[in-house]
Amino acid sequence: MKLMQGNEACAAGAIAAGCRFFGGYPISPSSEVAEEMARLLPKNGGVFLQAEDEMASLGAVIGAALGGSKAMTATSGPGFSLMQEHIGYGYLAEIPCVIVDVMRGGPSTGLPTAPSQGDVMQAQWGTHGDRASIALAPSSVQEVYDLMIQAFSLSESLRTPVIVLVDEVVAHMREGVDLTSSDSASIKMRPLPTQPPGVSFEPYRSGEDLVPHVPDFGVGYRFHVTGLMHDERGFPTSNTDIAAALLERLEKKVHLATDLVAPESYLMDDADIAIVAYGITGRTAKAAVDVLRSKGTKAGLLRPRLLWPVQDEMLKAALANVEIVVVAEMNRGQWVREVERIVAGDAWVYPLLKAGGSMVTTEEVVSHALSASDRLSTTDGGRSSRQDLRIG
Amino acid sequence: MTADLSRVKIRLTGSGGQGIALAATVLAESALGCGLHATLIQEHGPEARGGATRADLSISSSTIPNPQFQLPDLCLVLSDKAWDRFGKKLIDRDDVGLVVDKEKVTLPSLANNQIGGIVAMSFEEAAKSRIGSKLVTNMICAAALARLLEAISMDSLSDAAERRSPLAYREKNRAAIRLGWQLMDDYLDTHSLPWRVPGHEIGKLAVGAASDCGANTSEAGGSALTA
Repeated sequence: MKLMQGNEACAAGAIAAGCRFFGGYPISPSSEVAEEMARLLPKNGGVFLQAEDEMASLGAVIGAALGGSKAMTATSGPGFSLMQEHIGYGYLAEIPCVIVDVMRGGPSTGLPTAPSQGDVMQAQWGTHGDRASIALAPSSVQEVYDLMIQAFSLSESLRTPVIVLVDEVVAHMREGVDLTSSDSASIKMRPLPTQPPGVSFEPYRSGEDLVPHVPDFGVGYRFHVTGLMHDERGFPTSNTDIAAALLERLEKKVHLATDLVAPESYLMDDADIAIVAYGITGRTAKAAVDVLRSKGTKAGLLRPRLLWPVQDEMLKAALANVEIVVVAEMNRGQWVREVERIVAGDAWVYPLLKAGGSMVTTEEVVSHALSASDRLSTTDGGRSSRQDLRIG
Repeated sequence: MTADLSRVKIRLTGSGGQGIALAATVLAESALGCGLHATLIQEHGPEARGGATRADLSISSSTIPNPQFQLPDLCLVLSDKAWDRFGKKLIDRDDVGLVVDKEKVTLPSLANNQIGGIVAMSFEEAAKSRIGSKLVTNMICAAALARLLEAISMDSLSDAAERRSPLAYREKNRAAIRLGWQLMDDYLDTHSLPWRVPGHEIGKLAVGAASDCGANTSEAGGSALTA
């Protein structure tokens, strides 16, 4: 076991996954990722680029990725906002890259450097147009390392940007990490064309795997990449049928990630109350489950590691037998909407929402779960409004 | 909650620049070296650049679900600003151990080394007079806390400090760790601790850790913190 900070483990995981390009602009609470990559990349034959801003950073990452590198950037909310245009470009042009967003309190320059989970919806809906996102949420330093490797694996194999949403606490926390935990042989590579350069080919044609075999730039193939709607040759088109089919394929492709990242489930088998939480809040919730169990309340934890795409069927099955779902998050109510959509009235959803820069505490989760339970028994299902249970 | 029985929660506080974060990091790393689990979270606001700053360290023989805590078992205080923010409110609790640098926290009532549940020592003064640099105060404090905990060996602590030290400070930090350990040893020889920390069998933690940790865990044998 090696003592590492979350941001250090982020860089170590990226290097282990084969990342050899980092383009970024430092911003707390993500700066240590850049610092660490600046140290590690030259030693490992890679390139570190500090750009003039976040837009240029992700532009450089996209260029490096098209040139064949596994590439990433790391930023926080204000920089993540600036990157949204390029994230959309990466999605439509199917460019693999990993974007780490260490969330701090927002909007705007907001709260450096206090914890938040306020960028969850932005990770899905931040860029314009219909886009399906992949976003991972680690809750420990070990999981930062492991999920970085998985992020590269998903990004390369599906040829799409993958977002890793880390909260400030996990990013700055120090914990033991087992650097042998992830098998590097399991890292998937991007699919490449099988025919040699010079033969006519369609770089954006995909088969049943829904992923096009786009070559890397600079190895002899001639092809075109664009952020306009394009046909399978990669050239712009205004044919609405082609555009509709492209959007459908891109969404289906991203949903292939749904089964690849399992949520953590703790004492859910006989639970009446499920606590749903992610990131550092998931650990608070786990401690709260222990306290609730010691008081005789059958509570369990469901902690998604994949926030986007939402694992509808998996979560619906996991929550099928509970009466109450407490959703705890450090924002004014974001992912809870997905839980409400999935539960669809089959259980009472009680959000525990805390924004403003401080963590949800174990005591708060316990008391909300108990008061939700009391309400249910005394008012026969009188569902509270969200406002009632919002704190901070 | 059985997993939490052996968890020790330590809050290290001082002013930005005193090396609080490094002391906590070295303690955490040495705990891992002893086969224990550790989590460390810090404040990262403007306080860390001059105001009162804190690092919250948990050490446990099992995994630690939630790294945050409201109330520490042990709290180190190295400045007036830190005293005002973190130390003062703990003074009436006999379930929290306060360890204070009496030259840095200027409370007149601390003159007798042990008033109102506080262990008052001279960390920075010892660093200056016996090592020749106040910069090693943080390592003296880390060693004093480790000696108190009896869960971390001096060897493990020295190794961790060496990994985290610039070359020019390796020898000084090693000496600082020996000194901090000795200062707490001497204190425990002549005082009984003015607090009780229930629910945490720190002595047992030490026994569990000793096999992984080399010979220096404790010469005193018994647990200094057993309630």
